[in-house]
Amino acid sequence: MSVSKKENGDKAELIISIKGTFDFKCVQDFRASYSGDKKYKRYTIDMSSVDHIDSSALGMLLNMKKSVGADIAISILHCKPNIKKIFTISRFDKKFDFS
Amino acid sequence: MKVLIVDDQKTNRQILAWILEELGHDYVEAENGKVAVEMVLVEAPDIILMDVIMPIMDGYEATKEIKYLLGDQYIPVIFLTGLSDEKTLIKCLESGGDDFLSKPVDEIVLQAKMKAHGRTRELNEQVRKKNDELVYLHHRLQEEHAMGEHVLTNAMNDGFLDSPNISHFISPASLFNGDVLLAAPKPSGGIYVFLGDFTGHGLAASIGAIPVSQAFYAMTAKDLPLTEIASTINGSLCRFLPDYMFCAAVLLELNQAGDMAKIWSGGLPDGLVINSDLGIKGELVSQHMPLGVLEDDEFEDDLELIKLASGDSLFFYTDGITEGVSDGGVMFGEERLKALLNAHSDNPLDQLIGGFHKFKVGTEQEDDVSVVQIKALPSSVITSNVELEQDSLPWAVTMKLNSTELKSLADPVSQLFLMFPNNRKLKIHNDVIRSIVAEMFSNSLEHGLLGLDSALKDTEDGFIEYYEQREARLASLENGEILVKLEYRPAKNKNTLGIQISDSGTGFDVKKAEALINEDTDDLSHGRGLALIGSLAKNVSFSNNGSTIDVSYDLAGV
Repeated sequence: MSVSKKENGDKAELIISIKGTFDFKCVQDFRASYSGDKKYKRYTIDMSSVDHIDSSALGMLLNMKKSVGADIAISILHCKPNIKKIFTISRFDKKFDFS
Repeated sequence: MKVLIVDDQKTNRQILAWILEELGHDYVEAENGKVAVEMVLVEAPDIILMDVIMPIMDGYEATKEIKYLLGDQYIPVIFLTGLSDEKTLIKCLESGGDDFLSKPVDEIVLQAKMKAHGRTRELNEQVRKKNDELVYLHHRLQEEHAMGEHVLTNAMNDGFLDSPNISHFISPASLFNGDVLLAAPKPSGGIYVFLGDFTGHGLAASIGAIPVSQAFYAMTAKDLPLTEIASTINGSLCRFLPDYMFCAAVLLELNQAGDMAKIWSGGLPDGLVINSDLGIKGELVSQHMPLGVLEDDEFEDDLELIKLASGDSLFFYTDGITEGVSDGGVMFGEERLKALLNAHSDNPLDQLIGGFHKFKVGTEQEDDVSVVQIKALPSSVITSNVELEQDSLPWAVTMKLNSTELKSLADPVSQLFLMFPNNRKLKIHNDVIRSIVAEMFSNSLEHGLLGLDSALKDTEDGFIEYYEQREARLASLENGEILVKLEYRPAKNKNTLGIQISDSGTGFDVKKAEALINEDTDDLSHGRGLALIGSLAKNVSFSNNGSTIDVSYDLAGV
């Protein structure tokens, strides 16, 4: 499990990458990744290296949404099929962008 | 040099022996032809000095037998003869003699002849040794090729290429194929196909097929997306192959209905969409660089999406066919290929290959040739016999964790799943089952044993606090136990996996928990775990005042 972040070219977007299992062990690191002083116009969560998630990850993402503001777009990209299924079941497409 | 002196006269032998000794050579003696024949293989002389007329066996007969015995090994035989008539000399040559010396033997002449024949013999020995070496190396190469062929054939595992969706033609230019054609069923329906052409041909080119096929079969069996398969194969080729080698390829997925294809293409000649009535409908131009060129961070995994109508086929080929040269030095080319495929035949592939062979008559094949046709047909879901056998075996796995183990084990659920039975059907469901068990386990630990309150998680700070409390309470947990049980009991028309988790805690409000299973939890930061279990599993029930949760998971649906 690890959480890393980088800004994209125009510095308007923050890309957060998670590796391994996205579960409660990431709580501190994940929150720290987006709760700096700088506010971004867009956020992207890169899930390409995530093998499993649990319901605490869902909670963390909802907390993030609350924290950055409902009008700021958060994209969750490159999910493996098993993870996409969990997001779909939990109807995350209502609040997050998966395209 | 070692000289065999063959003469029936002792004095003659002695004179020769003196001369040879003086010249610094070793010698052995034989008093007639028969003795000489017996001595040749034992003594292995470098030169034989042979008298003509001797009792028991004369020089002609002895020379014939000696030359026969030696086979391709060369030991010069010099006849010593007092007779110098033509007839005698011809007879000497006919029996296999290499030279003559007239008696009485002149020391200078003998020395000269010894030197000349010694050199010839030395050269002959060298050639013979080199030849033995070549024969040995050739045998070894053949053995290694056979072994390489065995490994590659098994790695290719071409059984699925015979499925009704696929027609193909493969013709390597040498024993080893630098083209790779792979096909596999998609566990959730549909098929995957890979066609690749490595730089060059022969053994060197075909070696790259091993990492490609291993990654392809491992990943297709897991139902992984095309983009991931393409980037994994690309990454492994980047690491395995030298810089100048790469693989032009197309990777394709046909859906189960057979009306939609996803394609990743890099570096192969344009593919074609052909309809049985309309002929060529469209071209599929390569979108990317070949596999094994770009590093992971540069790799592009964009796919093309093609809608297919009934009667459509996709054609892909390697450049061995278009670049084939005829007897007259003309290249086969794309135009000829398209004309043959456009000829509205029932079997365009046969039409193309027939035309190609006709074009190539009287010439050698320069490069590996592969053509694959993927037909827009619905594919059946594959169920193998192995799976059916495994399905009838009942089994159960239990894991009991006490408080010490609960504290020390980082992630017991994933460790449990690492040793999960190697059953194909369960493998397909593995991720979902693992998610269910992980949620059940968290519930039992966090609420059952540690008595944490989910309502804490409603605020962002509370969320963090919740997990801080979890850590603190787990650290001070003294008595407590969690039992996980997975049980598979096959029955007719009932293919379910039972999952039970019990904890030694005091339980909780069962009604409230049950309500959460079906509740719309969109806006809650907690309660998602149970809702998730409810959506993924067939039945969820609590007993023992909430300390035991039973879930049954339906293995029939995918």
